[in-house]
Amino acid sequence: MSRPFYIKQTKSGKAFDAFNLVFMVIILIVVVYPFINVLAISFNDGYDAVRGGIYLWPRVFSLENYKFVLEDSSLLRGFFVSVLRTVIGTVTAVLGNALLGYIVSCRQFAGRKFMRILFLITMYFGGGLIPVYLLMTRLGLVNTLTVYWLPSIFSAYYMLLCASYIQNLPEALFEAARVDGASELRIFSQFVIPLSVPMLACIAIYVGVGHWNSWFDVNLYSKNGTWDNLQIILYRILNQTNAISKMTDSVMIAEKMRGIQPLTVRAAITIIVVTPILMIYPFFQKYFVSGMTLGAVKQ
Amino acid sequence: MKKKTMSLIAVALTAAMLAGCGNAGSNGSTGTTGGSDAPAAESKAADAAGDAQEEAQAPVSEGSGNFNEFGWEVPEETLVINILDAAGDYAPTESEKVGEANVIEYFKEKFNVEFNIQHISGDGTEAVNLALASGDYPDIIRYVPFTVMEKFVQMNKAVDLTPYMDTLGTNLKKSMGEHYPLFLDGDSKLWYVPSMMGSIDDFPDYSAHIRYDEWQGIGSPEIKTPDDFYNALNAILEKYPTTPNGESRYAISLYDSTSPVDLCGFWGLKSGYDIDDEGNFTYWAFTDAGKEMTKFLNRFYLDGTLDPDSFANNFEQWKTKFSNERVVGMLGSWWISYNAGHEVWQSLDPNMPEDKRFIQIGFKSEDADAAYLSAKNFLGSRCTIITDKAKDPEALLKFIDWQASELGQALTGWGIPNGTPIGDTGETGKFWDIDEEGNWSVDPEAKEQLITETWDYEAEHYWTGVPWLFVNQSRWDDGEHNIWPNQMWYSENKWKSMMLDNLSDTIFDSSAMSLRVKSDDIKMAEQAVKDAWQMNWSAAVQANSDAEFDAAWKQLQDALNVAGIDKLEEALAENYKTNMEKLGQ
Amino acid sequence: MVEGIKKKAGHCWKMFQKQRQLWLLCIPIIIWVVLFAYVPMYGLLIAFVDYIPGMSIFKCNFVGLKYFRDFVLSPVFLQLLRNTLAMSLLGLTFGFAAPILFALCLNELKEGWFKKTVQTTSYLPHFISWVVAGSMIFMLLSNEGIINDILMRLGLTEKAIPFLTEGKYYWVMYTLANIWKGMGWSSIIYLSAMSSMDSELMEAGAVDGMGRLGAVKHVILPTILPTIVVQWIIGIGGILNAGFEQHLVLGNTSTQAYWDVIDTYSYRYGIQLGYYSVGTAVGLMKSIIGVALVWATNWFCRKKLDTAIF
Repeated sequence: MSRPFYIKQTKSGKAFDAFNLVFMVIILIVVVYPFINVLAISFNDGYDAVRGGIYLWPRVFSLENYKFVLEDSSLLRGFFVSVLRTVIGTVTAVLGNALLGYIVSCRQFAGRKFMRILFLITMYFGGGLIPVYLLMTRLGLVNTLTVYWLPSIFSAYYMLLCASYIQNLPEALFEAARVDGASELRIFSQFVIPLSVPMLACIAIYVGVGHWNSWFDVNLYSKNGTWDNLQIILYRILNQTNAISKMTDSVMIAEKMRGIQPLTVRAAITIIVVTPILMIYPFFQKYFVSGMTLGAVKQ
Repeated sequence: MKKKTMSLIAVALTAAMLAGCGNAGSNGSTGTTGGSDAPAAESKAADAAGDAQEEAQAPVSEGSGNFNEFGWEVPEETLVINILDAAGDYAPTESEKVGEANVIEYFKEKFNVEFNIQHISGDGTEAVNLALASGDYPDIIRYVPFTVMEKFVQMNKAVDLTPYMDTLGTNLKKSMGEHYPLFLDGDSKLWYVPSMMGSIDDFPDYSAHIRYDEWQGIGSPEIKTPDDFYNALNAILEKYPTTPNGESRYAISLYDSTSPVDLCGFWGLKSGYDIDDEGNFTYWAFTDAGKEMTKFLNRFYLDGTLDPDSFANNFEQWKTKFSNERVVGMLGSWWISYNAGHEVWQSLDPNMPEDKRFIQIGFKSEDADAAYLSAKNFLGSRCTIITDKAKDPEALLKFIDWQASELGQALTGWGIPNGTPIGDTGETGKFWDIDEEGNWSVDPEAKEQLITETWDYEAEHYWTGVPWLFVNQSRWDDGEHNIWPNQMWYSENKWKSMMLDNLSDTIFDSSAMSLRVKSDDIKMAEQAVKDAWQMNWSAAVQANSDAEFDAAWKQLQDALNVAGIDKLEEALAENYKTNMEKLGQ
Repeated sequence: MVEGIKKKAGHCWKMFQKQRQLWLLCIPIIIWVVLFAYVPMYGLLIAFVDYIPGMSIFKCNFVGLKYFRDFVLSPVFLQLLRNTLAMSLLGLTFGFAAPILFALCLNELKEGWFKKTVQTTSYLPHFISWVVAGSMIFMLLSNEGIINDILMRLGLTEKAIPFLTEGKYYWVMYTLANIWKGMGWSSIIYLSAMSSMDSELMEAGAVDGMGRLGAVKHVILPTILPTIVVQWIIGIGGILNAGFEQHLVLGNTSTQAYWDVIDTYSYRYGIQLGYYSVGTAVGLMKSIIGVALVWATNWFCRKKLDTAIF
């Protein structure tokens, strides 16, 4: 939402605009440069990259790094698991948190404080790795897709974000619907969700990227490899290079290090992971600029 | 109507959630039990195995009498071995995956042994702890840290191997040799076999490095002492002050895993400790040797020839400098100047002169008896345990013992003999051959390639990949072979034999020093001591004056005292004395 | 009297009737939170016993507050606390304000490709791992880095400034690196909150002659205030979280006295040494302090800003 036409432009306003433009250009450079650098390194020959000094474009062009990463046969399957997990996880979490956010922001609901505190506590206290792992084993969630999304449907943080947004929505609208005999679920699906699209898009981005990037729980719960996602495969490749450089005790390792260049491969992995998000983000972004015109209902 | 839908949805939501767990439950449980209900070869021995192990000399299960060319008695019924490989950071390449499948297939065919191996892609130690906590682990766990192994023992979840060592475990016992008593616990019991023991005691780990062509350029001065090394580096700097690109050079550059503990070896300390005749330990920061070592580096710092980023470089950043020829000398593992030096140069320019490389050399301070650079610990750092889940531990131990035999080690380290297809290339590869009678020989072509450093390490993956339940790195009785194909015949390689000549007297046996059973206090003290030198040592190296150096040194010692260095020294000394007694020395 | 109670009970029942739908919706949510969040909390007991994995927590030796005491009395505790608080306070001020300012500035840009480009690219650093970020910072700030090169060429300094190896620069470097990495990503939330802005209010203000600064002050800020308050209260609760991975990448042995924070300490002693009890005790202590601070901040925000999270 930019400056609307009806706010008049002043001299100082113009000066600010100029300054703002410069400021944004600087930010743009600071923020984009590292990415371009990573891109350049990812297309550079591994041995040559060791000597440093690659900035905006590759010095010795090579596709070997991408070949190395993409050669992994399980990658395609992992990609689909990632997409599945991200879609299911995001949809359930967005709906779940929106519903929860709506419930705890209903002014006339007596249990709202109780629910808020119930969830807030979980934000600061948790049992730690072992009890959670035991619970998942007992529930039989090991080696299932469910273990990725079910335990992360609700979160106190997103609940608060949703609630703080929904609070800004006109209460009168909901009240009118209630008087008309609409059920709470109907109010939620017909009024709250459409009006909260920008916030839901924001949560979808955060949750979706979280699911897309996750590898830690996969490492714990995907024991037989059925539900290995893209990230865990990439994480393994990444750590292969790390693990080798950690060892020090034999000729074998020294010889093994030949051919694998952590820097360039890591750069290729970064690019592979970010590209899908880079393509999807503008789609979500359009929701942030749609301001609300509520018209008649506003008291 | 609406109310009904409301309640329906609420019920549905709840039901869906529970169902999610429920369905998954049935899947999951079949998945987890799959490992343990696999048929074990000799189930009749299972009863005997449980608590009755103490009765010792349990009857050896009668075999088929059918031995294959590797000396393995092929069982009538398939022996299923379920393994959790806790090495962690598991990230196989395509060739390694194929290799593992090939080897598993080979064992099925020739040995009637079936492997189910579960690998860990993250932190292995954490995975074993979780397995222990949840009770979800298979018959054998490989690469268990000693501290976790102790927990298994404490809870009666590991099988006592002591009674079998003179019957089923003869190869194992023979491999452990004179060090056998050091593997036993306080009650003289053996609860594990080392996952990888032994070491190549004729090959160094740690050394000083110097540019060979430039050292020759200044007239190949003899380097015997730290001063010689200092002078040689400075002479080189004077003659070759800049890189081919015109950048300045440093006499020495360190990176973040450089440890004073290793460096002290040049000044005659063993793994960072001074051990007196009574077996008492003194930490390097409280010895003259440690101070001399730090002053040696400080001298470069004051000259401005120590890379100022020495404490900020990680290996990669350091490698960039090193491969750009910015560094004249180095102290560290022997292979780092291979990896960051001539291997980079030769791959970028195949015509690079052979002498443009680093050589590995040793030197020692005049006050020291000897330089102790490469600590060889024969005990290994991780172990393999047979757990209480094993239905027939004897059969499993029998297999592990076979792996400890020479042919077992050969098949483990050298891979499948007689040729294995290399992927889809249509070619085959091998390191060795064996005939029906068990006569074997190393493939001469493979040997030649290894000596001339033209061996294809990528292809090798296709015929290796057996789980290393027990491995002994030491040379065999013939004094020539060992499990690493590329660690034989050093004397036939020019540079390796030069390294051996320079460093053979810097290798020492540190097995008795290794403290494996640690109380909580000692573990904490060990970490605190490490923190203390990390926070304070660099200040001494980078001191601008004698006064500053003394102050930094004092602060280092104070921090170490607070961290509990005395406790650690005491525990190490006690352990060392006990071990020396066990070894009968 | 009896009438009164009846009336009250009646009122309660009526209210419950009215809210029944909401309560019904809460049932599955409550079951979820109890199962996945509250059941595992028995694990907190690990902090009070000498825990051995595989043994039931209730069978382990009870040691009371030993691990808490050990931690607080350990010689490095004060240093850890200083580093943690210093860096998280820098984050709560500068790090907190940066995305808000950025979102406001972005909002003032003219609609068009430039705005979209800045917005889309601003979050890129979020996806660059700390390891890669660390190697770039090394390139910039090492003794031979670009910054030192420029400073020396300009004659501003004679000898290279050891940004990376001198502790006193560490906190600033850490804060700047965090802002660079997180600013664009965190601003998403404020941008989305801004889109709930009421354009009628804006028009009404414009009629009254409200300028741009006025629009920010009277319309935009009030719109995103609830979001800011939520973020702030949550941020305060995390005051004892002052980074983890960053330090392992940006820090080195010569700056350890300035970067070693509670989390890195508890990682070394708790996780790496397999000391679950130590790790849990430190975590629990952090949680209790966090909750107390959240409660206090919440109370303050309710009083002064009329916004709160519970």
